[in-house]
Amino acid sequence: MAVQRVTTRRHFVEDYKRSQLSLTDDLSLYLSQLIGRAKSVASNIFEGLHKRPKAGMGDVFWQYRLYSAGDDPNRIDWKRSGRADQIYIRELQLQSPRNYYLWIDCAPSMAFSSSLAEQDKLSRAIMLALILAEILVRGGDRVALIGVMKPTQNRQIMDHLCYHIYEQIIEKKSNPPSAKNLISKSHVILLSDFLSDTTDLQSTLLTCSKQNCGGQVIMISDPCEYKFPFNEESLFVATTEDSDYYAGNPQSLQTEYQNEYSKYCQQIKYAAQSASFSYLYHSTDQPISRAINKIIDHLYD
Amino acid sequence: MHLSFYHPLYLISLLLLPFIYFLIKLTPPPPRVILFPPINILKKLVPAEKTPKNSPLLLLIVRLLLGGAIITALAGPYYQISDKVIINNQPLLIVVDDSWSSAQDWDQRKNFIQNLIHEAELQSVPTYIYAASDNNISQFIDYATTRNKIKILNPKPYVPNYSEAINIIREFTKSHENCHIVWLAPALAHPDAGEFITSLESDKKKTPNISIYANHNDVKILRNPINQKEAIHIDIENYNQSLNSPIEIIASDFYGNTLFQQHFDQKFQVKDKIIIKAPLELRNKVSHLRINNQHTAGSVALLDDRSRRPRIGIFAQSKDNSTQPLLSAYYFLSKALNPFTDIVIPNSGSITPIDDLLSQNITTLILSDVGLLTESDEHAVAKFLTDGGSLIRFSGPNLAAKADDLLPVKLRPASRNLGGAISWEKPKKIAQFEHSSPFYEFSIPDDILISRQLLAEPTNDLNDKTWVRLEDGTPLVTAERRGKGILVFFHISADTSWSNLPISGLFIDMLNKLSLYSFISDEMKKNDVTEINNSSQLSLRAVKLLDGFGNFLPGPIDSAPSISLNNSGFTDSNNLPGFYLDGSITRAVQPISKNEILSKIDDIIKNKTINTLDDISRYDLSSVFLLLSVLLFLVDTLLSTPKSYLSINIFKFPKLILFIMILLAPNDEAYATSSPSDQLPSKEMTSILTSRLANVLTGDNSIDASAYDGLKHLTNELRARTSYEPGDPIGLDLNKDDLSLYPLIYWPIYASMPQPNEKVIQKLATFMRSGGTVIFDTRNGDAHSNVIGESQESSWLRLLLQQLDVPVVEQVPRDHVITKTYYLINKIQGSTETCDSWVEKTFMDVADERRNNVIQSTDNVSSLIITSCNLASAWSRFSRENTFSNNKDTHNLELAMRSGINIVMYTLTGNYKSDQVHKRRIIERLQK
Repeated sequence: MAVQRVTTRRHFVEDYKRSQLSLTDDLSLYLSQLIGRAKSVASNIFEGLHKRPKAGMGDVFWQYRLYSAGDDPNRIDWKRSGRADQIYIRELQLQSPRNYYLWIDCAPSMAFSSSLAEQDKLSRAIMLALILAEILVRGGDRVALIGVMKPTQNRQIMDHLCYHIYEQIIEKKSNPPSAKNLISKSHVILLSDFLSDTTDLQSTLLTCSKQNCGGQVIMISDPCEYKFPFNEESLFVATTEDSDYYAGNPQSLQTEYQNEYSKYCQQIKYAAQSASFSYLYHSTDQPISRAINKIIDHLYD
Repeated sequence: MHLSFYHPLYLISLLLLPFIYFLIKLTPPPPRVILFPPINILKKLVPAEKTPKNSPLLLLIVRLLLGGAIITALAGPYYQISDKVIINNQPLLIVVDDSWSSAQDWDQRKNFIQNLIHEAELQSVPTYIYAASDNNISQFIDYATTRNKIKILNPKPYVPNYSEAINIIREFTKSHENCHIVWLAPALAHPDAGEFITSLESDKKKTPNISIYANHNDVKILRNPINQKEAIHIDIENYNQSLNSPIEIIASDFYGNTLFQQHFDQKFQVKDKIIIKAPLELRNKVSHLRINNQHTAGSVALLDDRSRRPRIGIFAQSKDNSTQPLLSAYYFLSKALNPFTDIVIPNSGSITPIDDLLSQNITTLILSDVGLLTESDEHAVAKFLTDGGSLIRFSGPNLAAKADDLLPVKLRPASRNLGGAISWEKPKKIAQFEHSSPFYEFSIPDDILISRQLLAEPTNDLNDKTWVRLEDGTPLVTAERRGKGILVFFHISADTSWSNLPISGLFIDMLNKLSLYSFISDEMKKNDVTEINNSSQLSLRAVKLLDGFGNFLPGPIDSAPSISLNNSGFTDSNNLPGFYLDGSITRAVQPISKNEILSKIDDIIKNKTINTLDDISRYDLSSVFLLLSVLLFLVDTLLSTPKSYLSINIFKFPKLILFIMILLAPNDEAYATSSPSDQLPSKEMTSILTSRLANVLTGDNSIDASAYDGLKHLTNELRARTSYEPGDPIGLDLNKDDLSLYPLIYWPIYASMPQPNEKVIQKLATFMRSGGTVIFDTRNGDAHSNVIGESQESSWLRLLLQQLDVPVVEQVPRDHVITKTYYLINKIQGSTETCDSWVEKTFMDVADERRNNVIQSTDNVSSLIITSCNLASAWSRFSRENTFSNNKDTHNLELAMRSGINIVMYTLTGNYKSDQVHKRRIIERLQK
């Protein structure tokens, strides 16, 4: 059928309403499934990862460079220089582990998905986080979940993260983190739909920039949020269930809504860029790998 | 007309409708709930409508109408057109005319009566029913029994006699004064129906109140069917001239199967004729005709055995049929018989002409100049005679030569010539008919002269068998009874060569009388042949009777009265229309008797007004309202679906489109192509495509080979010398092969060959009759010339020819055309000169002087050439060098070859060579 009826559902939120016991079992099972999927996606992505092209302290050989005035003579590599007439300095690859902080928004609105998407936003966010963490750790960096852990290079980073994510989900932590006590010059990645109040976001970004940390703001949304494909007489209900909106003919509101929505996205982008964070918009009907690639590209800005 | 309800109480629930209205208005269908996180963004848009939308107005109206329709349907509405019949408080007598002319609208009448009874019941008026064919008026018991009486009332298949009805009604009015008489009058009636009314009105002090009701409906009736030569002629009466609808006549056979239907578009007068054309076979089977869409007994006409037309088969064997058709026997016979009977003749190439005729269900067989029948034909004809057919035979040259047993008298071998050049007497006239002769009623014209007749052996019973004599007492027509049939023999021929009877009117009368014989001889098996008038004592019982609607009543009818054979009275309760049977005699009694006078009711009843039977039936409308409610429900469903569902873009589904197209594709029947006809055997194909000579395979290889070889040489010479270029000759197996493909067949007689069987004889006879020529070569010319008596081959040939009906043969005359067809030769010869040949004798008619010329003209080629020259061996020994040799033997071979070529040319060109054009030149050359 060319026209489909778009249905929406809550995922985690529905489960919350049932007993906690079953929730824990379901949730941990679900998270381990997510880990599995994330691992398979990550292994596909590893293929295309390049080494960082910077010279610096480390223990991996990088290149030989001609000696020029001003270089430290201790660094001259005689073995190589002996082979030729000139003098060479051995350069090693920069291997300073960077610190990455991830934040996943566990608000109820994140647990939402529509029939146009494969996953709810929260699951997508978790998967993105896990894959990124795996890639970064393999690359020798340190990753942490903001506010609850210190950056670590633990090889089982996915399980480690999930442990903390689990707690966060149960606590429905949704506010943007306070972002204090970050290691300076680290990289912060925020994964959320940013549909709740933006003032907290602004303060977080401010704190981060004060600590000299850059990062990325990744807005994850559901396709129905930007498409607005509703055409029946409907009553729109918020996920927090304290407000609703009745529309007799939603189709007539479509263009207007889309304008408003893009304005909103622009706002967030502006906020991010003013704190020198890069902004990425991802919707759950796009493939994960596309988002990962984009994120990786922006990792070294 | 008005609308009212059977159950008006249901209509109260219509009051509930406004409540439904409010209900629907207050509870609109809830909208869909959609979970939507960025609702704050939505809220920035135009503020939402606070109140829920009302149900759309259209939907509301539809639902109201739906409710209303259902309630109305339940209340049982009906619709009645006409007003009620006025019933005072007088007792009601309903006189129902139950003749067949009321049958057309019988249901309407019944409804009318039922409604009358209904009204009478409402007013508690006693009601009496009297059908015009009843004998009395029964007491009134209650309304239910009266209604039952009406239910079982049916029209009768005759028109009742109102004169008796008058008395019964008068009795009634005496006892029940002041009654109201309602007469449901028929559309057509006898004139005495008018007296019925006037007498009722005139004789009482208090004239009873009489209302007459009738309908001007479309009644058409059929009368007097006659089966003529080409068609059935029938009278039709169409009383309602304003409704002149086209008529369709359906003809059915005795068992009710429809034989054919015919459509007539023309406008018919009040009394008109219809001509129904159909093949005779079908017409003879027709037992009744009816008008389509007329449901009365008057629209049915019955046909019995008297309407069947006889069919006569004529087999006239002479060859003159094709060459001089206007002088042939067949011409005279068909001219005489054609107007009254149906004539069949066998196909010209048929091998079995007699069987063909007998298989076509003829009642009379005429054989003209047939001498000898094959054995199987003789048996078949004898059986035909004993089964009741009649056989009429005419004399002729062939019969004069040979005759078989199928003759009433024994014939003298020679025919008698009267008035010819060599006879003493003049042609004779016919003597006056005797009383016992079936031709007694006919007068004899003066100028009939018989010049040639076959004579009969005088026997004791010759006088009894003679029907017509000549002046001198010799029989001209004799007849005899054989089994159920009769055998009539004319001692003259059926053409004008022996007499001029065939061109006289007497001939026509005689033949038609005879054909009628065969026709009724079936029935009169007990009676003497010469009695034609029926005995009127036979009584026939009914087998199938008509009812008032024109349908046949099922089942055997034992209780119906029987009729006599001469029955001609009016149909009434003792004389019901239908079919009656006794033995093999069938008679039909028509629903409308011959002399019955019918007229429209309007014309009969002059002084009173006739009210029409309005359609006072009630139409039940509840089904209409139910249908309406279903439709409204569909509309409601349509309106309730969201608009998104309605816009299905069908072009996105090519498979769906394809499926629909296949479903809607026109569905013609596939016609299987007819398989190509089987190829003819190649032998026959070659024979068809190229003409060739043929020899009969005798079974002896050397003879066959020699014959084939001779024909081969002949073929070569023909190709070389003449314009005829035949293909290679071929040997024929007489049992299997079709002879008609070959112009000339050469038969070397071989005495040890078994005589051919009957089928082969028939084939040969047909071959020879249709223009083929057979050369019978006894091959003993040389040896024979000195031998006295017959050789084996000759006797074999004689046996063979005895079975064939061959004409007289003569030796080839010197001036026979066969000696002149290509070369001018003296005689047909083989390798020696001393051999003989015979051909068919050409008769010189005594009376015809034209034929006394030197050069004889044969109209046809002789169908056989009997020769004793061993032609085949002569031909095979021929070679080209012989043509100009001086040696006598080889010269003879050349002459033999020339004879052969002449024979072939004679066969192919026929009488061309006897054309008088070249006569002078030919005579000159002959005389050199």
